[in-house]
Amino acid sequence: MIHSTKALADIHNHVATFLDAFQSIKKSLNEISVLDRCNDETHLARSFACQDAYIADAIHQLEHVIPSLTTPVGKIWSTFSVLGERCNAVAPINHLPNEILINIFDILCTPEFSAPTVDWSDDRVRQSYAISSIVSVSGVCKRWQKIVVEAPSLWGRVEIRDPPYTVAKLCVERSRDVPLTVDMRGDWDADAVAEAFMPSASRWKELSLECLGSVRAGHLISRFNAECDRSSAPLLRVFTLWRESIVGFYGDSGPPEELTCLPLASQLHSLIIKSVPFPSAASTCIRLTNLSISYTEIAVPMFGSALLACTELHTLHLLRVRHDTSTYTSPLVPAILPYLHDLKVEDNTIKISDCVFLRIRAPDLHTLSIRGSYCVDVGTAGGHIGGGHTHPVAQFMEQHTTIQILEIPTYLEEAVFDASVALPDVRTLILEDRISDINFSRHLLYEIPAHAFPQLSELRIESRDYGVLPAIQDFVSTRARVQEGTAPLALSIDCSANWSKREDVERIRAWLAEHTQLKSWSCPVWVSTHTHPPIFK
Amino acid sequence: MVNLVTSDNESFTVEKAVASRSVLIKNMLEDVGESDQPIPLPNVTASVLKKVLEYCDHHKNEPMPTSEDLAAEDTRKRTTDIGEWDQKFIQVDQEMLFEIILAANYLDIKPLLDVGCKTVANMIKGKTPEEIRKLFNIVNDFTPEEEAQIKKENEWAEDR
Repeated sequence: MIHSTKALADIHNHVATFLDAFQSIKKSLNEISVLDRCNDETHLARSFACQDAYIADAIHQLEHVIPSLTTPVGKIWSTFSVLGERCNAVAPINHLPNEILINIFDILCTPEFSAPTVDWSDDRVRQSYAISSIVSVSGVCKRWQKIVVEAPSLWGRVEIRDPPYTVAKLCVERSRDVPLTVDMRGDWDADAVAEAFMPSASRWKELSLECLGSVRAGHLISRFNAECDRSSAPLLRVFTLWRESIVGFYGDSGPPEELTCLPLASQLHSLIIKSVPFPSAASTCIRLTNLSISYTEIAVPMFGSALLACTELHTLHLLRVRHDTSTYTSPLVPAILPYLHDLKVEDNTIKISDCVFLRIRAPDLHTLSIRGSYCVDVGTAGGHIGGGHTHPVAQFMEQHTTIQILEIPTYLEEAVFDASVALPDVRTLILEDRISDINFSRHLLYEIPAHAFPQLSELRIESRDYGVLPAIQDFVSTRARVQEGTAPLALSIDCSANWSKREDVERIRAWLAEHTQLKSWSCPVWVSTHTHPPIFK
Repeated sequence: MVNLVTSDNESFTVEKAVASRSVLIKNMLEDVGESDQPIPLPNVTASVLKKVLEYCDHHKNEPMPTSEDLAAEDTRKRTTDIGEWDQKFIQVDQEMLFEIILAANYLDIKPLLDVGCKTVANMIKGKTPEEIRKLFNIVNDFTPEEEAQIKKENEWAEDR
């Protein structure tokens, strides 16, 4: 209170100084206005002379007074600032200690919270930064600004977006010795980016590089290989390298140099690559728990070695992976993956899929997702393990009865279908129709035996044909009749791009809403003026 | 049953399972063993403790966060959703909200602290400094020079 009283007295004194100065100027201006009213012609010349003198005097006084005001103005602002700090100290939110405010600001920095937006208003893609929120916060008051600037943990996410990478540099600097999550997206200048964040390699915890330009990505990989060695990134746990290619797997510029350095990071747990050559060094990353490969080419023996080495894998995703043209075939030694929980295989070449289904043994497999045409193609390597001639997926399912979430296409080879419906623990069944065929009236759902999937609680359908709707209706009603007393299925339907009769679709929707827990319904109906699909006849 | 005494001398008798949602109280109970002695909570008032106990009672049958959960701090923060019941529970005036956060911190009830912090973060999200000041009754205590300096430092964020 004593301090506040003194501060107010200081402000009072400064204002008094202002008033004195302004009084003096006012007096000069008054004199000028008195002369201005003089209309006696005989005194006119003298009057102008006097006026000039007073104006000169007033200007002289202003010149003298204005600089002398700067100091009191500054002091008044400082005093206001001190008083403001005292007011803020009693604001309820400022009762929270620094560590709790840091916790709140930390939440604001999470990418999910900051919801980055893409701005298409000019020619380039610009995304907001996750740390934009804490920039706002730092402008609220002095206490918050100090907390934000002095909390290195708030700056541990290095986002690389547009040149000149000011934010990235600021984050690297303010994060001090905190492990970093580097998140780079866009079409960047590889050299400038490398200079901005390469020196912090020893602190990288997660490195996510998504790039639009193939050539630039290649250049950056070359720099990585030249400048980073085995010991450069000892903390690196997660490495994602997405190279965007529109033409083919690697784009029209061809495959970039193989990444030889980063996967050697001893602590690497997650490796996600797209449109870059599979790093042969991945088989040395024995701590990998997550491996995701897409749009790339890989030698089958190299892939097999990685499966044998990475025994701690929890998730394995393979999307559009093709085998290289080498003719060398390795012996199909089973890869035992005791922790593998989630296996996703989509649109790979047959040799790659064969390698997965004939080699992997995952006693605790929980989720199996297969997309593409592999389940109707016959595996080329079938029969090497197990001695049978059944489809590799059928063999795999027979050996993995722990599967609880099953995603399969609706066009299945007979043995695969039989093995699927024999899985005893499936809780969630996801069916994907890729082919729109209005003449295909016998949907897979009609074929599933009524007693199959006794644990099923959820059905998700993705289709391009409204013909699926009566099949779902039939499936639901048959199960309800045969498996009496079971809870209604949770149902999600995503059906698109087919002409149909609105009232038919709405009628089935109403029925499903009554007999299932309809969790999601996305079926935009294009009203047809022509013949309706035969399924609704 | 456990007897808790607040800073304003009010007593609350609650089930052990409810009181033990607080790691502080749980440890105290383990240290003193079976005892009828009341547990003093000098940093919590009756009105705040009442709310905190309402939360603890609702969540009493849920598993306590393990040390592994707490070690996965990042994951915990990334889940920004607040459950439906918690959202309704935390709809209180600002003063009470901050008191609940302080109490959760003192009593070591991590999930409640999380709910409180996420709620405040939600209130701040997407707002300008001026809007945040208005929301929390904070005055601008920067001098014009300091404000200009901050603006200059954060120029990159201006057109975002």
